[in-house]
Amino acid sequence: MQQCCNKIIYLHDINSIKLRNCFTVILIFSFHFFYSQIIKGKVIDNNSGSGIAFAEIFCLETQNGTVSDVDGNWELENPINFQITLLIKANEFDNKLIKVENQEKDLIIKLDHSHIHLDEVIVSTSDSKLQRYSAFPVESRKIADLNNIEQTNLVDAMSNIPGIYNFSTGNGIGKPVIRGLSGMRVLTSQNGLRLENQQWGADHGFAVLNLGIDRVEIIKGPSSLIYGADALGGVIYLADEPYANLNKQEIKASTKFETNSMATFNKISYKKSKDNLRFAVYGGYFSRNNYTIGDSNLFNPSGKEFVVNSKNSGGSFKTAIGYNKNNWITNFRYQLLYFQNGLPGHTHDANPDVSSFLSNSRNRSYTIPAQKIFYHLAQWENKFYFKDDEVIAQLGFTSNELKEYGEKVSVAGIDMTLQNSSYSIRWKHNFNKYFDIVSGSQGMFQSNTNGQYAEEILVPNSNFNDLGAYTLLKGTFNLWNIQAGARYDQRSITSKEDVDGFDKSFFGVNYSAGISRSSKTLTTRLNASTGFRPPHISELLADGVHHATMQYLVGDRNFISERANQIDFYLGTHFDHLEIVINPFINQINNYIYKSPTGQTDTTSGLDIFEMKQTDAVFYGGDIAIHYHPHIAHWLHLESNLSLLSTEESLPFIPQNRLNNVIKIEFKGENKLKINSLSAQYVHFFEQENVAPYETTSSPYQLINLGCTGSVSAKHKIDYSLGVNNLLNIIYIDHLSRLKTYEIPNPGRNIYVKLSLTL
Amino acid sequence: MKKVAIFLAAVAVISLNACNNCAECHAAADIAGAEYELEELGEYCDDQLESIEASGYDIADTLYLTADGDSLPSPVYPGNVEVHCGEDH
Repeated sequence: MQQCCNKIIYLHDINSIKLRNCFTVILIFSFHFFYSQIIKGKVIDNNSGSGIAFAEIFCLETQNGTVSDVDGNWELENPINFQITLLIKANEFDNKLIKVENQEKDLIIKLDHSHIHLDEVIVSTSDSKLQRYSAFPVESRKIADLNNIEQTNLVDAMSNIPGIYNFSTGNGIGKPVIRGLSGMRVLTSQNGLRLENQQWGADHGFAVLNLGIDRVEIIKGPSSLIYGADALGGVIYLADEPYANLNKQEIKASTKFETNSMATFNKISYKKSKDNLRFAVYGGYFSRNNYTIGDSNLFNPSGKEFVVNSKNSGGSFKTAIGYNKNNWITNFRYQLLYFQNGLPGHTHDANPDVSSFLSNSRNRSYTIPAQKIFYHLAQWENKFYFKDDEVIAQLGFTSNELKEYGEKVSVAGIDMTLQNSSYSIRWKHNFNKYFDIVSGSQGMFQSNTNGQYAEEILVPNSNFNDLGAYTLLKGTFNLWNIQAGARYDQRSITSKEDVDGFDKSFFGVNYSAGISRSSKTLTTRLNASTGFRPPHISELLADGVHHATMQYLVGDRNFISERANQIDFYLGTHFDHLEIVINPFINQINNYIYKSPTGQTDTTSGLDIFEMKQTDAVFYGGDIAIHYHPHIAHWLHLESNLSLLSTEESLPFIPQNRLNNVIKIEFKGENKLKINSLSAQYVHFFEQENVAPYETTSSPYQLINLGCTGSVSAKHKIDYSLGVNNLLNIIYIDHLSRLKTYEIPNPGRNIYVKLSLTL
Repeated sequence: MKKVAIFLAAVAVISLNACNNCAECHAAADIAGAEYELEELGEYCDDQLESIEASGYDIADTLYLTADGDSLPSPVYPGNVEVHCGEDH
């Protein structure tokens, strides 16, 4: 039996008692039979009926798959006893998700032609579906697509997504901003493991390296209930690269060089899948020197100016091992990250101006002020699949050791270790072909400990306990998808100080409800949701110098939780050669916490005193996107998106509105030196006049970026990528640059070359 | 395959910066909110680096000029002054 519902096909073959009994007997005498069942089939063109060569057939549960042969035939060992989800992808065809149970005959998968590649699969919203069928505002993008024109870091690459921005400190420290919200209001999850890295600090960047990461899914606003409190701005879900295809191994190495900061990036990975066991290991290292600012003289190689102490370096080791037996799949992942970030914007001049932060020479030697970060991530995930049920349980541990060296090389000014132990359990039950229910619980125990010799105690030693539970009901009726649910969270914060301690609990009940209708040419979606964020201990108890941001911070222990209410509407038309998307939203946040200058100076440090304050805030705006693909020129893609954001109040660090245009030309050919695509990007950032009282306005600016990707035919696969960012070498300061205070410009022209080798 | 592995290992080794715990230090004085470099002290490593940052540096004679020969806004009299290391100027 085949049913088609939102492009998910269910295949049920056990329709006779006789067959059922037969399976029972086989189960008793040959247990092996069940988990070594071969699923095989053919991927064909829905129009012509011909086989599609080299289509990818990927099992979402085990994170590996296979590739069809030249005639479209494929076979895959069914890794688990019950229903599995296959994602089928092929060039110039729409992605397709199918759910497969036991199977008697060949599975024929029909793919539709698509000139515009609409959908990536989404796994961050508790079930796997294509983006257009989600009842949430969520976007899924492959990192490789975001880096079609290479960006220097992961947050810059994510900033190609409408509504996403980079709150930067030079090119080494970036913090993702979703619809104007960042830091503690954006929750980052890597394969389901919540990442905690002192993200309250403006200079505490996104502690993720682009190593073995396949794609990013961004849930905009507080609409997801499965990730817990804090995510008022949204959730960034990073999904690892899949394992090697079944019974295959793969070695990949890549190296990239950037001229602007004389940066090198080197990565290597090894993956192997053998029967029920899968393994992957990755290593990466990068090093940047001080970056070069733009120059009003278009070509002026002798007059380069570098931003003092903007150098940074880091590395990572990462491994994953997966195993399955019967209806059980387990994955263990571990990653060690190390970052060493110079902190620009530091001077001892009595009357500093921008020249105090610039130099005509540079070197890579370690200098202060600087951060050193050691970050351990460990995660153990277990999935159990039953006929109508699915249980996913995760245990996680992260340890983030952050040291900031301000005045002394040998003694850290700030020395904090944030350890986070977490659990998550999620149960999904399929009532019938229309309804699913998802329930779950999450908890974490977090402790912040200051080093024995730390000179500055900005955030006291403290413990945090989180506990949350949620239930979601999901329905699918032909073209309609609905989802509604509620969540309860509690957080207790206890400082470990003997004198003047702090012990307080915060509670929140939130809901999310969404409905979408997606036909072949039109998708509409409406989602309403609430969220809450208890104040962070840095906002409650801060009372000291944060040398890296050159501020003296004062918290307020009487703060109450922030509460958000968001309404998000989506209208998308999808024609063969044209896609238009309109996505307005409004996010009202009560008790919004922000930093405000007092106009006073700390007498000891000489730094300006900033107080934390609460107010009610309304963020509103939206994205408009157009993707045109002329029928007469299928090799040409024209994409534009406009990101708009405004606030009713004058709040700091509200991103500039942005118009992002990309022209991409794709090539086909069998030359030895092959060009896959040429891209040109023109980004216009509008003037920002909506500023906080102590901020200055930001001028409009434009960037032109160019990129070329291709491959070289050789014994092994070699891909290359080269291009230039900020082609015209303009001098500009983004409104979300933390260095704007010192009038330090963002990076100037950057030429990059990248080579990747796959064995 | 072997050549590729050797090449990749070489790339990895070349990319890695040598790690050490040494820094150039100078004696410094804070006068009217600005830092003035009084004397270059050279490179210190490990325990010696930690020691000189902790103990500071003793000025024996009154100083009227910076290490670069510029005039100080006010003289620095004999005594203990701060030592700053590892700064990028």
